[in-house]
Amino acid sequence: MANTRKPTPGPPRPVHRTARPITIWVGALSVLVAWELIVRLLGVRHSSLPSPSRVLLELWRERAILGRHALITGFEALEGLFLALFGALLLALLAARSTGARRIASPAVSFLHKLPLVALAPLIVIWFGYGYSAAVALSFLTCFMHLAASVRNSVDSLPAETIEIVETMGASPTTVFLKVRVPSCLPSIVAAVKTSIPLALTGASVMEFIGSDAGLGYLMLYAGATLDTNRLFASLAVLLLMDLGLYYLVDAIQKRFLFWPAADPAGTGASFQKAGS
Amino acid sequence: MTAEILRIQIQQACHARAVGARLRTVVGPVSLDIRAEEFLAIVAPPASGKTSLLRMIAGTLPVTSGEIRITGARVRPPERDFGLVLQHPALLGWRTVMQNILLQAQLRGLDLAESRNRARRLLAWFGLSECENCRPDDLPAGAAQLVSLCRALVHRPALLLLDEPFRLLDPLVLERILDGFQHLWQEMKPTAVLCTGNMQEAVVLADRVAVMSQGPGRILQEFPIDLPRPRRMDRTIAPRIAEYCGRIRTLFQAQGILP
Repeated sequence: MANTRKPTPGPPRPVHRTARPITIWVGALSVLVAWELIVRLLGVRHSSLPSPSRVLLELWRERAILGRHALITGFEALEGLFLALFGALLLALLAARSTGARRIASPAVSFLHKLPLVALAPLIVIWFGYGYSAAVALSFLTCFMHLAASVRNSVDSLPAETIEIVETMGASPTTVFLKVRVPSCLPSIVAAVKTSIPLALTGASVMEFIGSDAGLGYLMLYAGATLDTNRLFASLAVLLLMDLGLYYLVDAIQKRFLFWPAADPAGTGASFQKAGS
Repeated sequence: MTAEILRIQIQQACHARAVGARLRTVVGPVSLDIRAEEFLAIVAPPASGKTSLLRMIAGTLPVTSGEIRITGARVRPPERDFGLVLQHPALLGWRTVMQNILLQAQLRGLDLAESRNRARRLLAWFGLSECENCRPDDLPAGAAQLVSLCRALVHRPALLLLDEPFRLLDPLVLERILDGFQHLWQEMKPTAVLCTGNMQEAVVLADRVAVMSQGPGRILQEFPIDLPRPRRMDRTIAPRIAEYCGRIRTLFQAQGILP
């Protein structure tokens, strides 16, 4: 029997492409070149704005120090991020199991998500003192609220029909959880992890500004105090590279393993009306 | 097989939903008696509550008054030996078409190799053989709905509950699919309840057509369809199908649903 409508097995589904990677690199490079030219042609003082070539030189020269401090900031941010992910999933599990927990957690998350959590840094100092654990705590706090809100939204947007049908196949609540709920939430959770990376790094470096003797935040603050703009920019560049590196790492994982679309928060897709009758 | 004792008795069944402080009836009261191996089609205008009626039979929506009795032990929870197709295809995006269909067999603990063969046959009937390894999101909506229908048939259910499974198909494709589906139904002979807004589709498929009013839906009239199978839209049968459709149309016109 001939087939009905030819479905396309290939990938021509709507892909939101902002720009090709090559275009991004060309763009970034041209900004750097423009910056270099402006600094050189206008004779901007190095102590105000160093040229990219100087920053690059500084990066190479101070690679040992920068690397050591970057490692510290990186570990703080990642530890905070992982703890936050763990906590958010735990909360989601709890909310999935009990309606009471859901009723309390959902508005609490919505409220706390809106707070500028970085402003809680002084409180963190009181609780955790100065140093590594305080940075982890602030990075945890900023990521946790973001992740919890995203996980909650993705759980809320599960297609009810799918669960209904799988239940009529005789699936237990645990099976529905493992076979339907978890996989359909995964893409949006990973997307939320992606957007949490800068938050984690911000949390960690802000805490280093406030009180620490290690990390890129500390390095930047110290460089600022001694008017060492070369080092300040070099630290900033390392922070940016870490952010990009982690982003592309998670992005690669997402593209490799999580190819299906995230649950549609608006409902169940435009072409299907919700069961109106 | 317990299919011969399967019978669905719907007596004055209603479903009501709380709207503010009041209860609003969505569907009913509906009384229907569906025999084993019978194909019943419910033709209803939109928002008549036909989906709610189907869900009440499936047991996923509570019957607020009246009762629905299903004799035939295999259909009641927890075993629920039926196939359900809702308006939304409800396929899992991370599974291929074949894996989606086989989920039914997996969860019911059926033999997978045998189910896979049956799934292949079903897909072939609907002309979807090439899509076995496609992802649901790569399929057009009509085809996704057919995959959902295959999933509802793969375990040879005693009861088949269908909510507008052919709504998104192209008219030309629909005619061929209806032909294939008739063959499948005659071969498996599950008791079937089909909700649809398409009276021609209902007349072609069903042994009996129940016409429903606007919401909250009640059964206005039942038409036994006395036509030989397979019913094709050819010169001998088409006029008789049109005649049945005409009678349903008259009923809808009297209700002010059709001009």
